[in-house]
Amino acid sequence: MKQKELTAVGKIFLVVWIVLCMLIVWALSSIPVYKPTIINFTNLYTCEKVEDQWIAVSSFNVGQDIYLCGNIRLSDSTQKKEIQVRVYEGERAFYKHEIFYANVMVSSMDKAILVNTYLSPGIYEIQINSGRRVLGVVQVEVVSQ
Amino acid sequence: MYDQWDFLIDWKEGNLYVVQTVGAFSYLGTPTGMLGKIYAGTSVVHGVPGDVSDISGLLAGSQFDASAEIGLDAFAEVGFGKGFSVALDSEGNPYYTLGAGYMYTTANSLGFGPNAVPNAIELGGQLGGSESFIMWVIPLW
Repeated sequence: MKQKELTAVGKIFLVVWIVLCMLIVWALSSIPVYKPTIINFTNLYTCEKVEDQWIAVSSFNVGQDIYLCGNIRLSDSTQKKEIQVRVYEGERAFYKHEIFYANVMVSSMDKAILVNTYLSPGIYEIQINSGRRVLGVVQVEVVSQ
Repeated sequence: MYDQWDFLIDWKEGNLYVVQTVGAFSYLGTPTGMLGKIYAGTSVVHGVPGDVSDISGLLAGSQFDASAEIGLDAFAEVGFGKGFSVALDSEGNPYYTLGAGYMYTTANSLGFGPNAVPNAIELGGQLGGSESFIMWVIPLW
């Protein structure tokens, strides 16, 4: 008896589930499949601007603006895309949390991104993400003047 | 192996994300002759940074999954399950954001499937990994 009841509940569940799936497939079939804008940030390095030129620098003074340079390429160059900047004290590790996080909008036209935070003297790692994809990591040193 | 479709609403931005997740798991629990199962349920994604407007890059990627299920089992099983998935970044580390915490998903599901080894009560747990893909993003408002 119990088996029959269970089978009946299962059949109802199965029919409802199939009808729901068919409705969803029908509703979605007219919508084009999502094509994400892919961002690539290659040749990542820390930099500063000297006379309109971005120069690679790995050591900064306390209070000095730290910029990230590199080749930013979007699969659709007309679009903008959010990337996430994270600063870690010392070296990154899976158990370490960042001390600074920022969500930044970038385009293929951008040459540099400001790491908009104050860092006391020490060694840091800066990680750039597009969602869960790690685009790059760079190490930087901050020294007292 | 499993194939899961999620319909996730970003309540802040008003977008519906249709996400396909495929995964594999190992099972620990009462003996089961499960021949396949269908399930439906609800999911809540935690730890999404509030300042990101397009969360497709956060929903797509790999996960570590754990789930537990209890069910009535007499050749056909009807079970209630609770799931927990930890989002991993592309380096395989748990995805964490300052202010938002670790990104993870909790799920409740109701499943049904034929079972060749009936136990009256089915108890089990699953551990595994999965990969999610964004299939559609539909603006709702």
